[in-house]
Amino acid sequence: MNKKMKAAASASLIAALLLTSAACGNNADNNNTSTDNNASANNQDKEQAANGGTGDKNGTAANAAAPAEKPDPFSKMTEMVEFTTGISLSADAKPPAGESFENNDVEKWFEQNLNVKPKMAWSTSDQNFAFEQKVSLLIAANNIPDVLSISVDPNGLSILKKLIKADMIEDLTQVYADYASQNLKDSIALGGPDALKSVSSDGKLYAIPSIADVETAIPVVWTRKDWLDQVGLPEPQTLEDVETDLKAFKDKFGAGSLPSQQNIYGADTASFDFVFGAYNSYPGQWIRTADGSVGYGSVQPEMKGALERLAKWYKEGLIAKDFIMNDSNKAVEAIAKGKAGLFEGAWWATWYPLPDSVKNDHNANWQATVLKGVDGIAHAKGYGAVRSFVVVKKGFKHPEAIMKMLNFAQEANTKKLDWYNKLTIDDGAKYLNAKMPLLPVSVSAKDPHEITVRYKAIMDVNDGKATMDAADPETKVQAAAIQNYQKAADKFADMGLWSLANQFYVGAAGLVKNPVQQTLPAFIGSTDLMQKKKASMDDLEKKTFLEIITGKKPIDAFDAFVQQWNGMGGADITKEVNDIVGG
Amino acid sequence: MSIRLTKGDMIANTIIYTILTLLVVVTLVPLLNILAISLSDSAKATAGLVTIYPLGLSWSTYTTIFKDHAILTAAGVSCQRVVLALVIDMVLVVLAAYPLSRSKKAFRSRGIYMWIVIGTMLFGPSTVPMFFTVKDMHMLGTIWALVIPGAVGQFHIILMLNYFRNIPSELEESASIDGAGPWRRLLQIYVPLSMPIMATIALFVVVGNWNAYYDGLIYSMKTSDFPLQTYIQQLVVNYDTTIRDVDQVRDLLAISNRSLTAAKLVITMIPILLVYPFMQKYFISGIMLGSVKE
Repeated sequence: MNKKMKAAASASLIAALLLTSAACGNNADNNNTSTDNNASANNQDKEQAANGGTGDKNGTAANAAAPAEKPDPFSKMTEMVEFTTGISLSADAKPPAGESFENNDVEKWFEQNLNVKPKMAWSTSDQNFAFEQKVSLLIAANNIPDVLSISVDPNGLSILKKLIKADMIEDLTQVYADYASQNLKDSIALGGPDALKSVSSDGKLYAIPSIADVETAIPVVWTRKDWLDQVGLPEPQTLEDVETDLKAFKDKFGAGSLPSQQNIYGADTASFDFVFGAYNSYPGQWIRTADGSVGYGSVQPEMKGALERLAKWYKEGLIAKDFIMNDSNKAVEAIAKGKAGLFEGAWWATWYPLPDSVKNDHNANWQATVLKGVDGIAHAKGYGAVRSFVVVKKGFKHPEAIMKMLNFAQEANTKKLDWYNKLTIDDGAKYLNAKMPLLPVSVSAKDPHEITVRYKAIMDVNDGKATMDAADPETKVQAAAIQNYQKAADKFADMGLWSLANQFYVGAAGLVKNPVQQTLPAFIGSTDLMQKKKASMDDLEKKTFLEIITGKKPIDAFDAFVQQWNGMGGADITKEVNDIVGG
Repeated sequence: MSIRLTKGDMIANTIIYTILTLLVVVTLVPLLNILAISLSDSAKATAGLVTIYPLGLSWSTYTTIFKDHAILTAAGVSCQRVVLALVIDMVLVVLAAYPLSRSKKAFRSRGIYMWIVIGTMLFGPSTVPMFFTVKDMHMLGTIWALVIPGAVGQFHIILMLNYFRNIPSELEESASIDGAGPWRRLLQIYVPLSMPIMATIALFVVVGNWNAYYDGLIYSMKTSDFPLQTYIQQLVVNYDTTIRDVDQVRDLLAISNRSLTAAKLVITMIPILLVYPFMQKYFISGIMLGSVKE
């Protein structure tokens, strides 16, 4: 449907080609330098690791008076374990002079305190799905590094299936049970039972998942409060309000069209996701339908209402005549130019695209909210709770060393390691702007409703209901930013601070105004049939939707489209997906 | 000698010059736009306010670039690649085109070789087999992975051999009468006479190698080995990808400064712009005029 899908499709094509070769490959070339199988931890080392600075909060695991034979999640390995891995690097990475992924203070800490050392087998761009493409090629060449962290989006779970099928990765069931820290286990459990299930096969756990919040997907409607006040309207609550506001903005400011773009759904900024959500429809997403089976969102009957509404908007000029020509960068130009007073963005819009609007016009007072649906309840799409996962190559001698690394990574990513905070987030920290991966391998398991939970905690500090000192480290960073911003004499001198402070103060506030009912994807990734047929089905879908919106075809064309879609292979694909989800 | 223009010629000339001027404008405006953006304030650029002259003029983007190690490293990789590719491609193409330009009588299995060349043009390999080949030849992660796979341009061979064929055979015959062997005939008769086509092919090779980004993405095993265009490609950020957390947005923001990206584009354009005027002098037709009297 869009660039992302195209990239995904090409990546999956490569993945399809590689299957055969990967399946008959072997796992003999194990480059692991460590040969010792002895993995049992001893008490001395355990104490060392705990003193090494794991912080007081995770002390439960380290201080538990476990018998010597009980595996310790944080203890030092008895001898040096080296592992190879591949990483993605930002074009903006600025390591301090002489340092690199293989050589930095964080890495040294792990080398000294855990006896684990990473070796970078390769690195690639973090943009345009370059990482997944590289992984796909290396699986084909049967040349994967010892440890890989793979993102679920766009095709990560399909890649995992291939790795399992080709017997290229370790079964981590036992290692997870024995060596995962209580904190990590508890945090992953927040993602629900499906979190572990989605990276398992035949009851065996093949990867350690990262759990991310699901709320980021909620489309937020941003409006200019200063404009609303001038035309005497309240903040929009429904799609009708949006129409009223746009018409009022048109008369008063000549800004009557909604910033919109060619990706009519599935884009964070300036798509029509909020309209689809209002009708409880989820195009492009596999969802549970009323009868309990899994169905494709784009062909569900709820779509009709949303498309009809969009056609009406197009006819009335609330959507630009040439919106099909816009990409998201073009769509947001109107926002920065002061020619739009209402748009759909993410809750993090204070980072993009709002700073440019505020820089160009200091009076722009953007406020956020989630609209109520046509049934009076706010509905929204969601992301799957599992965001990425870590796999270990088959035959790697010390998977428990990786598990220990991940235990520390979880502590670090929840900002619970003091020494790590000092290096990365405190004022003047050495790696504050390094923008390079520091942890040799990383997971982060957060509450799927992290934003709501965090917002409440921050506001408690802000309102004086809780003290700053008692707050969680993550909350502290955010609450301090808000305080600094409120104290600042020139609010727009540091736009980074503006974005950071308003991210929760305005963005997250909008997200929690109305209780939102989220529909999470029931299936992510692609199947064999999808790789063969989905591209032409997507073309048909895009063409039909655009024709309906622009009024070239009546809304009834949707029914014909659904029939055609099923005929083109949609019915078979749906069955395939149900088989996978069910089995 | 002055040429007298008829009225018809005048009208035709006016039309031709108008069309050419329009073409120049159409080509120049996007370049000027990029140049203007690179010299403007980023917020103004994002708002789409910048046309062909800068708003809020500042050179800061360019000073930033010259402090940026990554882009300089990438430019170094690109230069290395262009030079290697130019030398290897030219040598191989000339050596392949000369025998293939001989008559069937002189080179009996010529047809078979021709089909092999054309066959690889029609059925190019896809990414995965190519990757396998490059890997098995131990070229992964080296500069050779960028140079060798595309070293012999089949299209270049065909251009070259057709040019060779158009060189009057009398020239070659006269050279052989004077005792020149095939090497000497190639190097002293054919190559010097083929400067226009050599320059054309050289330009293809230079521009093609300078602009290639995909192979860099596939075969480079370190981001510091990326050639310039692969490096640039990761800067053209698309916010349509679904973003899962705020850190990701901040990372994107850091590299998606429109003015800075525009400045980087301008920098990458300059070497190619410089190549054209130097090549121009070779594009002279009629070099063989009067070499043979029939």
